[in-house]
Amino acid sequence: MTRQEILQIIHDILRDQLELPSMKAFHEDARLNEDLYMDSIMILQLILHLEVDMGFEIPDEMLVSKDFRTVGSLADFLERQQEPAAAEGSK
Amino acid sequence: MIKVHCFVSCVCEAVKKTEGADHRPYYFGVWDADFDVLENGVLTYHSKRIDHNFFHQWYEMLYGIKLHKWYDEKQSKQENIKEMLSLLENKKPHQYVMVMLDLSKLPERENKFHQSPFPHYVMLEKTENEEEWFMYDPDFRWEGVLSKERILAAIEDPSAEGGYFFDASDIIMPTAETVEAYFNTCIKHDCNPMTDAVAKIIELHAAGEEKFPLSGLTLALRELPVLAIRKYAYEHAFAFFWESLGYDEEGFEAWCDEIEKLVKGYTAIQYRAMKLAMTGNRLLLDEIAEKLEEQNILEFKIKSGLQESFEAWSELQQSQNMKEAIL
Repeated sequence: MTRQEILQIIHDILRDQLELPSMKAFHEDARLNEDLYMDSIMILQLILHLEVDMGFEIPDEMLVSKDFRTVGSLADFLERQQEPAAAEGSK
Repeated sequence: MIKVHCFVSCVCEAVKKTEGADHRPYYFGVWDADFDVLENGVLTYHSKRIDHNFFHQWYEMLYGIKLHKWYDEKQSKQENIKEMLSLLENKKPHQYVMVMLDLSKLPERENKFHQSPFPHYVMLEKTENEEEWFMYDPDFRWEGVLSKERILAAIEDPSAEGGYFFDASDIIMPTAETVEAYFNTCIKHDCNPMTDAVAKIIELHAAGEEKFPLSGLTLALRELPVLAIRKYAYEHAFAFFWESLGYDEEGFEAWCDEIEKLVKGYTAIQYRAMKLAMTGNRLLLDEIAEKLEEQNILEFKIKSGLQESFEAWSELQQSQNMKEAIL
C-alpha cells in the first residue's frame, strides 16, 4: 500500500466511519487532537477501524504512542507496519 | 501537572499560592475518588449521587480553610447566579469563588476530552472591563479573560450545578497527625474500586441481557480516560514522602513508570472493550479479563510501595517529634 493510499484510508475512515465534522482541516500535518478535534475515544475508534477493517496490526503500546499525534505520523507508523510483511513476501 | 480532578485542583490553587504550604498530601484522596455507574451501566465521573463532601471536609481538616457551599440546588439558576455575582463583587484578594460550568459551552477552551456536556469547576474574578471575567482553571493549567456573557451561558447549562467560596488568608500547614489520618483513610489495600467497576460493567454487557448490549460498551466506558488520570495522584504521594525521606530520584522515577503503566493500561482495556463492542468477538473477553487482572496486581503493588514509604515517613515524623521534645 502506498503512502497516498494509506492517507486516503485514514481520510475515508474519519469521514465515513467517524463522521468527523472537522474534515476541512484534514492534512498530513493536522494534529488529531488539536486540529481535527478528536478526543482519545475517537482516536481509539480510528485505530480500531484500521485494525479490524484494514488488517493493520496495532500493538497495545501503540495505543498511546506519539505516532498518533498527526495524520502524517500515523501514516508513517502504518507504512512501517507494512514493512515486515513486505520483507517476508519478498523472500 | 496534568488534569486530575477539578474540585481538588481548584481548592489546591490557594495552597499552591501560599509559600511553604504543600498541596501534595491532599491528592491522597484522588486515586480512588468517587465515580458512579448509572442505571444504564455507564461509568461516569459526575452524577447527582456524587458530592464533594469527602474532599470538602478533608480540605478543612488539612489546611484549616473553611469551604462555603454557596450554590443552593433548591434555588433557581438565576437566584444562584445572583448570589455568585454578589460574591464576585465583594471578593477580596485571598478569597476565591468557584463555580461549576459546562466546559463544552466554551469551545475556545482546549478540551482534550471533547465531552458534551462537560461539568467542570473553575474560579472567577472580575476584570476592569465590565463585559469580561478572568477565569482560573487550575485543573487544565489555564487562565485567561473570557466574555462574561459566554461564561454565564456555560454556568446556566442544566448539566452544571455547584459552587464554593473560600478565604485562604488563615491557611494552616497540615500536621503530621492529620496527614497520617488522611492517608489511612484514603489507602484501600483490599480493592481497586474503578478496576472492579470496569470489570462489572463488562460482565453486565457480556451477560446477553437486552438492556445491556455488547455494542453499548463503547458508550459505557467513554469516560474511563477522565477517571484513569486520577491515578497520577499516586505520583504526588510518592513525591511527598520521597522528598521528606531524602530518597533517591531514581527510585521515584521507577514508581512514576509503574503509575504511567497503570494509566495506560486502562487505554488497552478500553480499546479491547471497544473492539468487543464493534466485532462482537467474545474471545476478547478473556483478553480483557487478563488485562484487568494485570491492572489489579499493578495497582496493589503501587499501593503497597506507597504504604512502605508512608510508614518510613511516619517513623521519621515520630523520631523528629521525640528529638524536639528532648531538646
